[in-house]
Amino acid sequence: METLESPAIETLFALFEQSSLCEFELSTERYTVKMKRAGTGEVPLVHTEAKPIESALEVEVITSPIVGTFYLTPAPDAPPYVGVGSTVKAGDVLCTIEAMKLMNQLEAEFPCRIVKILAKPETMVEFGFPLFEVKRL
Amino acid sequence: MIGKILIANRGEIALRIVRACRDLGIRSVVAHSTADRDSLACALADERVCIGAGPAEQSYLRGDNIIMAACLLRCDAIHPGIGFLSENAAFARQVEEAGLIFIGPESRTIALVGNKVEARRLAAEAGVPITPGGEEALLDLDDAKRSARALGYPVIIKASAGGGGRGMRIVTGEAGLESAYRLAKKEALLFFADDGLHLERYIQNPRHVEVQLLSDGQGTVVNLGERDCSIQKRHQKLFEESPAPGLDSAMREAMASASSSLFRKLGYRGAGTVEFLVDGSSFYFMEVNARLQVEHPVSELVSGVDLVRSQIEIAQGKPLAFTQRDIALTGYALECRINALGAGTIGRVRMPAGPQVRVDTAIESNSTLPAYYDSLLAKIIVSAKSREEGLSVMERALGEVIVEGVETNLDEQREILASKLFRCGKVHTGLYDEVIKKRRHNG
Repeated sequence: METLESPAIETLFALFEQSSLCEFELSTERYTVKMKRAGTGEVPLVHTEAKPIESALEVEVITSPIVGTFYLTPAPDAPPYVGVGSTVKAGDVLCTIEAMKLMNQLEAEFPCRIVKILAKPETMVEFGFPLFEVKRL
Repeated sequence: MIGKILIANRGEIALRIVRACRDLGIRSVVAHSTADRDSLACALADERVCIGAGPAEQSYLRGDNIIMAACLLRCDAIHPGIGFLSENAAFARQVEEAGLIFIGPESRTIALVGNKVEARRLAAEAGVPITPGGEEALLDLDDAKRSARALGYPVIIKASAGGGGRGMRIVTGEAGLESAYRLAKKEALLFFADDGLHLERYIQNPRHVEVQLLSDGQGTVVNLGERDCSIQKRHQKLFEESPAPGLDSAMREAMASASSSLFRKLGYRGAGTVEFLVDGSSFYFMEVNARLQVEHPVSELVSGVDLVRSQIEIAQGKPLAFTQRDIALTGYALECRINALGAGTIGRVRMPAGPQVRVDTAIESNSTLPAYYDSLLAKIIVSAKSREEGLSVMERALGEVIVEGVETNLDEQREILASKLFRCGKVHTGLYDEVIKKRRHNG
């Protein structure tokens, strides 16, 4: 697969993040970058799947809905979306999973507190891979 | 060079490909659904990756997840196996565009032969006989009526994008044409997202004979003989054998050479099959299967060629190491499919073994059989010097099989094997019904 120079892509991501755009597409001879905010299209790009864990009371695990690369930050030098102890509302972004040159933002389906981050940033996650241990609020 | 292959399939065929990779010193990754986590293919592969939930449309049909997994795991190629995405031209193109090798024909070839109207036209151009019928898609009901009248009833309406018995309607007279046309159109749209239909003369109880080919896309095309797959239940094959019993050598040669010229015309790359209907002394083109087939071991046993290994070698860009002259088809081979009649937990399993018996299966004792996928449990393949010898080896082999916990078609398969109709070799696609009806009548 073709790779972009990282400063260029970082700038793109940062600009997209700050903008009010729902979708963004850039095509050059060598590559196409498409960005889309979750929840804006007809087809939801991502969803969360929560599984109860028997051993820990009230702790749930959010797993990866797709195969891709896990990122905790919107850009390498940007602060992470969430950390251990953060509380999030339903619809808040938890992480991005890059797949097929698309940055898919994974949103929380319910208000919760992050108990543990289970996946290692910048590594591959498969379908169903545990990403976050959370406590429902 | 291919160093690592992602296998986008499941069951016995995924395992078959894992084994071929092992033989070639290539690493294998099985892409699996959550329901297949504990499968034998996963256990025996070098790596495994979960690509989605149980239902196929959430996993084995999720091309994006499959390609992503292949890229992230640094695979060089994707083997689509049989079914699922194996004949999906859009998927093959995405694989190519991702810089990976698709182990199969080029996406444009898949698209070309995937359209039945287009495939018939190409076959006719290559000098392959086609069933009398419209070379054009039907415009509307009136067009269907005109074509049917010109051909003479019975006719069969088929989905142009279809296959596997879906979107097909047999019409015996004009009275039934309208409803059949509308149903076929609806079914075609539902199954293939394309409501194009065409019409052909319907041949009552033909034989189903197909030619196995290998083509390197560099000018060498070889045929590995034919398989008779006439024993079917609702278009699903039950027994496959090679050579086809009682097929005269002139027809065999004509079929083989017609198939080869079609593949040459297509510039075909990989393993593929040309399916024919045989009616008395005539044979007609049915379709090209642009992939490996379930019954490929039958041809492997009579030709001595490993089809999966050849697929991988061709995908690496190697020219075939043999030509038609090097292929000596010897002896006889017969495959019997053992299917489950429902899902559940499999109890004790005993598969046959011994001389002349090959078993391709992915089930084990005390494993679960997910309800999401097809019902194939095992393929028992025997090789012998003659058909007569092959039938008794198969009888012995089937006698050894035990599959507990789920209902299977084993008794029915034994019954067909023992039937006079099958033993005498006068096989045709109506044989299954004749044998089973007769039993019900007598019983």
